[in-house]
Order: sequence, then C-alpha cells, then structure tokens
Amino acid sequence: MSITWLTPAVLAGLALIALPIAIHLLVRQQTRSLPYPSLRFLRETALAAFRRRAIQDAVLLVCRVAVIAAAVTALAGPVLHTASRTAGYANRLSQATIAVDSSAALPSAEDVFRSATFNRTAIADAIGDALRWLDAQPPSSRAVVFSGAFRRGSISESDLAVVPEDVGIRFAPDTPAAAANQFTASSLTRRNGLLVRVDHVVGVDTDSTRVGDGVVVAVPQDRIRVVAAPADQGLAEAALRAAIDEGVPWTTSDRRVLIVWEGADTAAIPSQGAELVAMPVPNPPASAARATWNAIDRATPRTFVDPVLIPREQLQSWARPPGRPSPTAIPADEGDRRWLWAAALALLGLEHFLRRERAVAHSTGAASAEARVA
Amino acid sequence: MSRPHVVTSSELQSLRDLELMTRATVEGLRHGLHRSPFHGYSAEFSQYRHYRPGDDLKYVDWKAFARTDRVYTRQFRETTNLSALLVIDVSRSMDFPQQSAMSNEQSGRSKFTLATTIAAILGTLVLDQGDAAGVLATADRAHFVPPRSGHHHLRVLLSELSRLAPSGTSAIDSALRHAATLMKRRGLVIAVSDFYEDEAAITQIRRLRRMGHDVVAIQVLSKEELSLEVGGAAEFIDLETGRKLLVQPSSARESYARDFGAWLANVEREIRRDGIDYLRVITGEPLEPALRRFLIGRRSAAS
Repeated sequence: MSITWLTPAVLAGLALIALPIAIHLLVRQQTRSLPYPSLRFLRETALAAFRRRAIQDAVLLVCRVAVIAAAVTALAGPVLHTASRTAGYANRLSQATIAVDSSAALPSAEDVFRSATFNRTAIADAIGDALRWLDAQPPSSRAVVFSGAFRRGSISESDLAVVPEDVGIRFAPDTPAAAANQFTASSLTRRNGLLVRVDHVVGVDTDSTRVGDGVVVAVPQDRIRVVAAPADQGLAEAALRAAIDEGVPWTTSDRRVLIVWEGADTAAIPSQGAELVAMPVPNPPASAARATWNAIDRATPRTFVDPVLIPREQLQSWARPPGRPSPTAIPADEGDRRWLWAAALALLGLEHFLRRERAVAHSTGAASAEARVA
Repeated sequence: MSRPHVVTSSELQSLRDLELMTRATVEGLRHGLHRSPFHGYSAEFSQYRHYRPGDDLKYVDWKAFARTDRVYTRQFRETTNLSALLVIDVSRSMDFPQQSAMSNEQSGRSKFTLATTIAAILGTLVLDQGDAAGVLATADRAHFVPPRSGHHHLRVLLSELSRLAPSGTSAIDSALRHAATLMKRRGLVIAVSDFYEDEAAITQIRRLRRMGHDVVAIQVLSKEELSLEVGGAAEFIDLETGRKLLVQPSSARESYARDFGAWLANVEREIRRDGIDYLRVITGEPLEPALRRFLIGRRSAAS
C-alpha cells in the first residue's frame, strides 16, 4: 500500500505541531532536582498525584499534536493506493468524446467515471484537447470516443496516430451503417417546362463514386471555382480537382461557390451571385484536397445529399479497447481525508474532555488545600 | 598551634571550661579524671575487703579493726584516663543541605559539617583534659586515627576530620561494628550520625554498651528535614540510593512532619532505653548551648 497527496505542499503545515509542544514546554510546571537525605517519609499519595498530572499533561499534548497532524494531513488530501483500489482503477473509464461533425449526436456518458466533450473545427485540435484532458484525469481506463456521421475525409488514420496506445478509441456513428455505401440523392431538374425531382440511388465504394442508375452525381466543375493568382492557379485547380475526385458531396441545385484564398480582398472579386468561401493556401500542396474539402464544407446553404461515409469496417479497424490506467496519472480525491477529519474532530473532543477534567481536579485540589488551611 | 579549620576557635573557647566526663567506667593506661574498673590506691575510697596476707599494712583500717575486731584493708578506686573514639557517619545522607541546592533557602552548614565540628570540639575537649581521642569513619575506605593523648595528637585528629568527605552509602552501623573490634579496652564511643539506618545502628550501639563502653549517640539533623521546608514541587533524589520522587512539598509536608517526628521520638527512646546518652543537634541552631547543656548533664551524672 502506498500513499500520495493531492496537495503535498500543505504538509509543510505539519510544522505547526511544534506549537503545542512549545507551549507545553513553556507552561509546564517547573520542577527542580533536590538531593535529599532520605525519601522514606515522603508520602506516595503526593507522588501519585504528581505523576497522574504529568501523565495527563502528556496525553493532552499528544491529543493536541494529533489534532493538528490529522487536520494538516486531511488538508493535504491523502490518497491511499490499496491493491483493491488499484484494481478498481481499471474498471472505471474516463471518456473524451469528440464531435467529428457539428451535427453529431453525442453518445450517452452515464456509465463512465469522468467524461468531457470536445468540438473543434479541426479534428487534430479536438484530439489534442481530449488527450490533454485525459492526461489530467485520475487513474482510470481512458478512451476517446469519436461521434459523428464520419463523412469521408472527416477523420483519417493519421489523425488517430497521435492517440497513445493505452488510450482506447471508439466510434459512435450517428447514421445507419447501410447508408455509408448506398444512399439516395435527389435533384431538381426541368423537364418540358416542369420542375421535376429525380431521386437517384447511389452506391459508393471506398475510393470512387459509382452511379447506381446510370446518372453520375458529381460536382459540376462550373459550380465551384477557385479564385487565385495566376501563379497559384495551377495549385488551386489541382486542389479542387482532388477534392471533387474524393467525392465531395454536392447538391444538385444551381448553387455556385467561389473559393478564394484567405486574406484576399473579397470586395474586389466579382462573385456574380456565387458564395465566397475563404480557404487557406494549401501547404504542403498534398493537403490541398483536404483544405478545399473543408472550404466547400463550410459553404452554405447545406442542401447536400447524404454524404459519402467512411465504411463501418474501416472505423472498426481503427477502434481499440482502453488500456491499463497510467501509473503516472494524477490521483483523485478518493475521500480518504474524511477519516482524518473525523479523527481530528474526535481528538478535539477528547482534548476538551481532558482539559476539563484537569481543571476540575485542579480546582478540587485547591479547595481541599484551602479547607486544610481553614 | 594552628589547627585545621574544622571548628572555629570561638566554638572551642566557649566550651573549654567543660570536661567530657565519662559516666561509665573506662579502662585507661594512665591516671586520669575517670573512674577505672581496677581498684588501686588513689585518693578515692572504694570499699573494704578482708585482709589477705601480703596486703600493705598501711591500707589496713585500724579503726575498723578496733570496732569490729576484724582486719579490713581499705581499697581505693583507681582513676584513669579516657580513651574516646569519635565515630562519624560519612554517608551521602549527611551531605545535606547541599549549598548548591539550598542556597536560596539555607545558608547554614550541612549535617556533615556540623558532625565534624562536633567531633572536633569533643576531640579537643578530650585531648585538652589529658585523655586520648581518636576518629573512625567508614566510607569507601576506613579512616581511622587511633585514640592517643597529647596536644600533638590534636593536629592529627583535626587533620583527619578535615579530610573526611561524605561519600558512598556506608552506614554508621558498619563503623560502629568496626569500633567494637578496635576498642580493646572499655572507653567512650561517640557516634555522630543522622541515624537513618536506625535499627542497625542502635543494635551496634547497644552491643558497644554491653561491651562496657560508654556510648554517646549524637543525632545530627537539618532544619529542612524536620518539616520538609522546601518550596515548590521538586524531584527529590535520595542522596544514597539515587532514587527519585516527584513531590509537591506543600501537600506532603503535614504527613512528612508527623511521620518524621514519630521516627525521631522512636530513635531517641530506643537509644536512651539502655542508658545511652542521646543528643540531637539541628543545623542552623546554635551549637554551643546544646553542647554545653549536654556536657553539664554528663558531668552531673558522673559526679
């Protein structure tokens, strides 16, 4: 069994123990040594009374010291690590839930020991926050739960690589699994002067969009354009192409989006009714597809069809159970200090009782002495 | 003649006019002031006895012969010199009150100092009257000055007394037992002690008395011992055993004085029972009047 302290600096307060000791030393009845020819006529009753008082003083001192010690150690927050308690650490779970999509319905966290939710625009930032929060939790099993629809591109294996081995990973998709590979896309079109809604059942592979009924649902390039300087025009076009190739979901309406570099003077750009969306210059260029995707994702209104999702099998392959609690985890208050507070209160009561007994004995002795004199 | 500072000259001078007379018969080697068990031909008539051939005719009481028609020879009590042995208790219990412990309450001398002073005074008196005086003290080793007379012996006696120091736990009874073996002839034994080992000491005193010695027991006590005159709680340390007791004198004083008084009375009664002289001397009280009363009392008894 070991013991750790939540606020070990408070233990410096144990120096206060010196206070009652010093007071006892200062106010104790001073006795001197007196060589005497013979002790045969000195009465034992006087001796017994003296010793009784000395013992009483010692008990009183011990009580006062113990009260201070118990109070200080209670304030320091002791945490006892017993074998059973250490085993119990593995049975409780600290869970950090990350909302991958803003529309994600967060999973219930009723059975977990500690839980928190993190929602950041960038998934990497959310994971970083979650890991920092988990590191600050008391000893327990730890897991990161990703919640959302898990559209393709919303999370990748490289994002999960930063999660330590002893932190479990779980995915809580908020859409049926079947929709990941097959969904219905609706579109409005004019036929013979009428506005007609056409539903397409679309099947999706992991790496390409497959037309279910012969109608290709893809982003028409003329609906999204990137405004860039001539020097960056090639990069912008490549980024847009890569994003579309990855299957960015798109509405079948006539909506147009104009992507501009962040920091560009948007007032000077003739949008011609298109929505302007800012996008950071991709750096490195390999991240251009993701940046473009995110930029399109931020465009409004979101009248998208069901997105292309990451397959459930892929999510399951990334998932793993929580590991053993970290031995370096910061201990939590397990309530051990309440016993010390109880002990301090009990000792305080005992000290009060002893002090009163002593005062009563003293007054009785004085009264008898006065009676003798009288 | 300069003397070691065991006794002040004023104390000696005040008692010079007194003699330490022995009430018992002592056996001396020379003529002296004291009665001898041997019948000789000195001035003091003792008794008649029937004439035996060879008796000196000048001691025949012719008047008695005329009256009774029997021949008697006059006998005279031979007077002899006194051989006194001063037996001093040098146990640690005599080293009280100690100057360091009692400086605030008592500036007088300790029991031991008083005992050696008494021994010096009595020894000087004995030597001054032509008798022999010696000293015996049994501490870790025996200090013994055999009884001798003469003023030259006074310096030896006082020097030995000044060398004595309270040490050890050797009780007065062992010194008295030793004295019984050293005193070949009947003489005067003066035991100076606090007599805390009362039973053993009294046994030895009676033994000396039965051996024919004139025994004087001088009990030396301190004023503080009589009534536990100690202020405030103190850790009392037995001077001989080192045993410690924490005592509040104010609460123990009453019973202490009662018990101590009863013990003192018992010691005095037991000593006096066999006709042994007893003198109690208290530190802080004038010594000269007490000794004077005692010596006058002995002279009256001896005459």
